[in-house]
Parts: sequence; structure tokens; C-alpha cells
Amino acid sequence: MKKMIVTLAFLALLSLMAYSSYEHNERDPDMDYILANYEKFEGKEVHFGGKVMEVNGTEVKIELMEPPYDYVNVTIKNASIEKGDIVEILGILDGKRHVTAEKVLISKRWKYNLIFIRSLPAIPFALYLFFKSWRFNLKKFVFEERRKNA
Amino acid sequence: MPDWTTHVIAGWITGKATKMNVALVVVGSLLPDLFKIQLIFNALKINTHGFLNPLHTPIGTILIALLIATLFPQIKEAFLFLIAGTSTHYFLDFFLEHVTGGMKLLFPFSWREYQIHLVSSDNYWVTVIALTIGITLYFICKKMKK
Repeated sequence: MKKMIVTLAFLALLSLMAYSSYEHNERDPDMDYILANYEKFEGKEVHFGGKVMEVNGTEVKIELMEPPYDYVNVTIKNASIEKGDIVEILGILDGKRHVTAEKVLISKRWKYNLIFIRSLPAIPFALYLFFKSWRFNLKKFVFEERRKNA
Repeated sequence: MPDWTTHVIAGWITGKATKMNVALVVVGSLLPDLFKIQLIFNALKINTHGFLNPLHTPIGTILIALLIATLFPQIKEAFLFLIAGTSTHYFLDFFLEHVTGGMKLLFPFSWREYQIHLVSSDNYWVTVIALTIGITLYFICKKMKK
């Protein structure tokens, strides 16, 4: 029974991932695909996140935070952006590597880094809580409860 | 995403308040972020977004929880505790602000994304509030045990 559950769940998960991988470029394309197929997306709305590398008036050079880690030039009006800020952009792709922003979310670099710093204590805390209640029995290949009502 | 500390505290509060196995609820609260493995692949310049994104969908998390639950003597109970934790994760993520999009809650039946876009992910007040509630509950539980 257990083996059947594991096999079925594993196969179902793998199928989901394969399906997503196959359909991803058509249904929810990332910038890797969009920039490689620029003609297909010209004049269309795109969104991405990145780090501000240069600010020149309303022209902002952004380094993508996901593959292909390339630069995209973005025209951003009415937003106070500084070099180093982390931004999320929604805009129209109107040139090869150029986007005119319609909506922008700005995070200061320190605030963005703080997310990761705040996340760090969670791992040892979760591990402590878990192994306080459970231990792994290698022979039976199963977790055993250390004590009741942990 | 809210930070992992907020997720873990939300899981801990849920586990304590509902008298479930806190450890498993807490593990469940982090399960959907398994897809963050892609950060390692990103660093290696390997694009795994399409392949790993289903891990941050309810159906993907249910399957992962099922796989993990088989490592416990009472599979059904373990599965339910893990799912309770993942529910808190999706509940918190639902309020995150993005320029567009959100979570593919109905994947693979629909690619539509759902999100309320209310709280910025860099907003540390969410963590402060979660910590305050968590610490208060901890002392209440401690006092009740005495």
C-alpha cells in the first residue's frame, strides 16, 4: 500500500513538472524565453524583477534576477529609483531589451536583503522543533515519535 | 513570499491553537517554498522555472506532503498535519503584493493566477506581528500547563 502511494504520488508529481516545463513558455513565459523570442512579444505586456544598475533620468538599466541575467532598459516615469534598488516591473516590451513601465514595485536593497536575513532563524527553529519530536529509524526507514504530545 | 520565520511562526501558532503535531505543521508551512531550490539552479545559470514551479502550487504541495507522510507511521495523520501547515503558507502568500500575477491555485487545470496584492514582501511588520502573537501564545500555553 505504502509503496503504491509513493509510486503514484511520485509519478503524478513528475508528470505535473513535465507538463509545466512543456507548457511554460506558451502559458507563462519568463524573460529567458521572451528575450530569445523578442518578435513574438513585441508590443505585449511583460513582467520581471531585477536590480537597478544605472539610472539616467527616466531611463533605468535593470539586471534581471533570473535567467538569462541580462540587462533590460526600462523607461520609468514618476518613480524615485536609485541604483541598487530591487524592482518588479510590469510594462510593454517596445524594443529589443526595452520596456516602458506601467507599474513598478520598488524595494530598497537593505529591505530586500532583510527578507533573507529574517528567514535564516526559521531553518534551525524548524529543525529543532522537528527533531525534538521525531527521530529517524534507518532500519525501518520511518520517523518515530520521541514522546507523545510533542 | 513572506520570510520563512513568518511562515514557521504561523505554522507553530496553527499547530498549537488546534492541538495538532506542531513539528509537522511547521514543516508543512515551509513545504511550498521547496521550489526555491531553483535559486541554486539560477546561480548555475540553469533555467528550471517551468519544471520546478508546480512545487509552489496546491496540487504539487499535496503530492510532496503525501510523499513525506509515507515516512511516518500514521500516514493519514502526518499528511493532514503537513497540509494544515501548507495551508497557512498559501494563506500568507495570498496577500503578497506583486506588479501582476500571483499563485496558480488551480494548476494544472488552469494557469490563472490569484493574489490579493496587499502586503509588500519586504514589509517586516508582518514578521514583528507574527513574532508578537507567537511569543504571547507561547507564554499563555506555558501558563496553562502550570
